[in-house]
Amino acid sequence: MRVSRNKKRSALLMALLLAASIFLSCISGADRVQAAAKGDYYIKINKATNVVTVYKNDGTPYTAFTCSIGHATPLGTFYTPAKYRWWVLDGPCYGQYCTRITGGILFHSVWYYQQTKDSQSYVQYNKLGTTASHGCCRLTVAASKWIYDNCPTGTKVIIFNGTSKDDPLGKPETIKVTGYRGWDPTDPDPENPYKTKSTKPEISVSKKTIAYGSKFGDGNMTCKDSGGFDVTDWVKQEGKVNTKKIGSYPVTYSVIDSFGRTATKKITYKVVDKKPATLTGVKETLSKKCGNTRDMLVGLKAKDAAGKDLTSKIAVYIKTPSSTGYVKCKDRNYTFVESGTYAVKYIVTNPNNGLKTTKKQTIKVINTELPVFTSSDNWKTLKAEAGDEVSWDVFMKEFQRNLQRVRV
Amino acid sequence: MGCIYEGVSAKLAAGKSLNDFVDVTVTNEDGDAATILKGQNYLFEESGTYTITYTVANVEVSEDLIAEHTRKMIVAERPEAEVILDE
Repeated sequence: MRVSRNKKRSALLMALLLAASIFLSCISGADRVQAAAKGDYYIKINKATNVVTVYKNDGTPYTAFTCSIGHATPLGTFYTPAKYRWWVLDGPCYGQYCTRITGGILFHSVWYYQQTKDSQSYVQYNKLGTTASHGCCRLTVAASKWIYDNCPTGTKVIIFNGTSKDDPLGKPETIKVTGYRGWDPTDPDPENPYKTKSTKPEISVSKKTIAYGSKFGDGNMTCKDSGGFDVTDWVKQEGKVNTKKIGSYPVTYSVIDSFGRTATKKITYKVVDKKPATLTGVKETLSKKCGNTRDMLVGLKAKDAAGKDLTSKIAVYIKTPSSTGYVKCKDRNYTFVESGTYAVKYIVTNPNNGLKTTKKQTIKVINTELPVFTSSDNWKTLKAEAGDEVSWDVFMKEFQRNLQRVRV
Repeated sequence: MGCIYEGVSAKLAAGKSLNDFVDVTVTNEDGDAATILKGQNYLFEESGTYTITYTVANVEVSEDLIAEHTRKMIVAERPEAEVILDE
């Protein structure tokens, strides 16, 4: 009898619960999804950092969202019991893509003034990442929809107080909106004026060649998310560029925007020498003596931006005092045979880019030497006869022969 | 060999010829000196040993940069003309 009486009580209790459930569905006006499976993921909410991290069931971090929780958010482990496409929240206000965590605590979008998609509170949207709710876990529409779509009822949710070290994927950036109310910029609805229906994040790179020694990264890469918001700071970079070393550097950029959409761009940067070679050691003026031979490259140094020695590639052009144009020296050693002013040009071409570097020099050549006498007869004693009248020309020429001619 | 200059030449180390600027001084045994410039002559009236001095200055730079060279010159008596009577 007792057993029979218990069965009756159980049946009565079940009927009451069913009626209550139907009643709740009616007053909510929302789509209620019954728990069916635990799904492929579990979710951890770091109350201290306002970060939601989704893990695969094998423990691998899968994705992360920035949220706003509240001081009233309870700690513990829970299993989602229900979902609602729209749900009436405190206020009243309204949330999209709601997943109940426990009691009155839900995942949901930032709230709306009405159950219309163009009435979201932008003040509250811009608070994402900070503690701001009455206990629920506020998310972007894209994030709350991802949980709604991918985490069935029964999904495990762990709420804890941790640090940023407990957020293995970090804290995703959130875009900021202006105004008082409007569409959630991450709402994938085709009617969303942010036009996110078919767009993807777009990573743009302005230049692929990087000047040697320059600072890499500033303004070279930009990224806009699916809604057209600048999310350059969100982009992750794999591969480094050493601007102190000429060469090619593959770099991969990747980004996951707040819609959960991804973009990847692979770039091979080239660090190149864009400057003319440096040429040092050229003195503007020099003085030399006539007859001096000078190594025209002595003391000179030419190098490219990377420090490669180009001294041997310096070409020397000289304009002598008596000439009107420059002539290229064939030998690095040059003998100054004229007195006067020599004009010298040193030119080195950077083989990396063909740019020329020219330095000018003036060399004053003076003659400080005594003249030199020579005699074809080795200064033999001259012979003449009294009465010979000898001209200056005869003294200067081959004496004896010319004297004979004079006599004749 | 005809193209090689025969005689005295004066030049700078760099190669410039100074021949036209050479002064020739003739000094007799008594020490009397006479300088012959280009275009002038000297008459050896007496026999004896003379000193011939060649002098040239570096006209490009300074008259103080002077080089000189000397040589001896022997002037013999001129044989008297032989008079042959036509008998």
